Amino acid sequence: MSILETRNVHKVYRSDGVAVHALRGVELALQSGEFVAVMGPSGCGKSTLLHLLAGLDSPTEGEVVLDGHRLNDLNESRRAILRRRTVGFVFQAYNLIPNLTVADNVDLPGLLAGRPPAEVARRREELLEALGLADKGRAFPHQLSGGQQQRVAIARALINAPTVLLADEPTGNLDSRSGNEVLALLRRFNADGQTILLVTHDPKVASFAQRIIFMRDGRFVSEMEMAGGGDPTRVIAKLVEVEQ
Amino acid sequence: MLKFAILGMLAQAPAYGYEIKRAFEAMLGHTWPVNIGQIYSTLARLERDGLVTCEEVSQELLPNRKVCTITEAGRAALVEWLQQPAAPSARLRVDFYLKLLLAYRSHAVDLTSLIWQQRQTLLQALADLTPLLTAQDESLRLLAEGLQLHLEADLRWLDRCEEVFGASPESDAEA
Repeated sequence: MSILETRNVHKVYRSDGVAVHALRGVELALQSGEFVAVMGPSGCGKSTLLHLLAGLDSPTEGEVVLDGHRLNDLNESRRAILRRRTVGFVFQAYNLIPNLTVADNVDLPGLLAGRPPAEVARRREELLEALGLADKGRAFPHQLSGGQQQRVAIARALINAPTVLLADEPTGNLDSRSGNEVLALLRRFNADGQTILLVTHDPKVASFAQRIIFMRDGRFVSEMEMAGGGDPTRVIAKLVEVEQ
Repeated sequence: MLKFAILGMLAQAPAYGYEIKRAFEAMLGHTWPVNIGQIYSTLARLERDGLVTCEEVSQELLPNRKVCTITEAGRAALVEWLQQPAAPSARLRVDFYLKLLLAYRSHAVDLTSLIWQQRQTLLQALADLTPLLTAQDESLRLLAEGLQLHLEADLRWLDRCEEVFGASPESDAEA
């Protein structure tokens, strides 16, 4: 079942009388349990798309259907409620609140959604454990590495068990090793059923997804399904050139 | 290469052929299988050249095994090899580039689809690597990271090829 859909979505920005076509008829259907990467160069419209999917902005034309709700039909406050319940967001910048502990940062969206504090705390413990941060609950963001801060941001995004996790260049600020670790964690959450859509310009990032959609100039131009389950050691043997 | 790999393994401790094979393959996470026959023939050459000495050790109920030890000359040869920088390996997918140039000049196939198919092949290789990028085994992980960076470079270069030679399928269809 499709949990996030766009139908012929266009987005035009106007500034000083000049129209900029950011999106030109995007058709997306994200199925429950998928891990999809939208990949394209900067300026191709992928971040605009992510904002529309989250209901943070409205399309100029076409519609976005999130968890069975047409976003166009909802007013801003209803959209905010839907967003809180169904969408988790991870950005390139971790955007943690500096004077709150890790635990409080993670709990905040759960408490804002009006869920019982004990339940929120239990879910937070599970998430921090899964993210290798079990002992960091009392730490403050500045005491953590970039990779750890982004993992806290992932825990925060997942605290309300969102229908879909949206990520915008989630490893853009990380060195390649921490980036790979964060992506491997996203893949593990996906294996446990979390639906994920991420946008990136980086093929290394996109290669962690099951499906890659290629975006150019405001539209989807191609896509590929990744074949999984290959024997990684054989892959290396194939790629490494041994000089005999 | 195998010659120095064997010298490098023997520089750690004396060993017999099968032991060398096992330790070498384990060091690289079993990604680099070595033929045991090649190990024996290389050992024989190393012995002939005075770089190792081998001694038959008898075992109960089993055939004798030849335990080999690196010599001073062997150590010197190893050190010399280790100190030589490896040749730069800018593998620009020459076979692909040749195809691209010939397709461009002959108009025999569609350039756009040639580039997209190559991109998909490289992306699939990147995807195949992903489980190894968080491997526990550090030597394996570092190797996977190196391959990841090479594939990234190949993909970026492909983007350049696309800019110069072709457009994406959609915009091509519209043109």
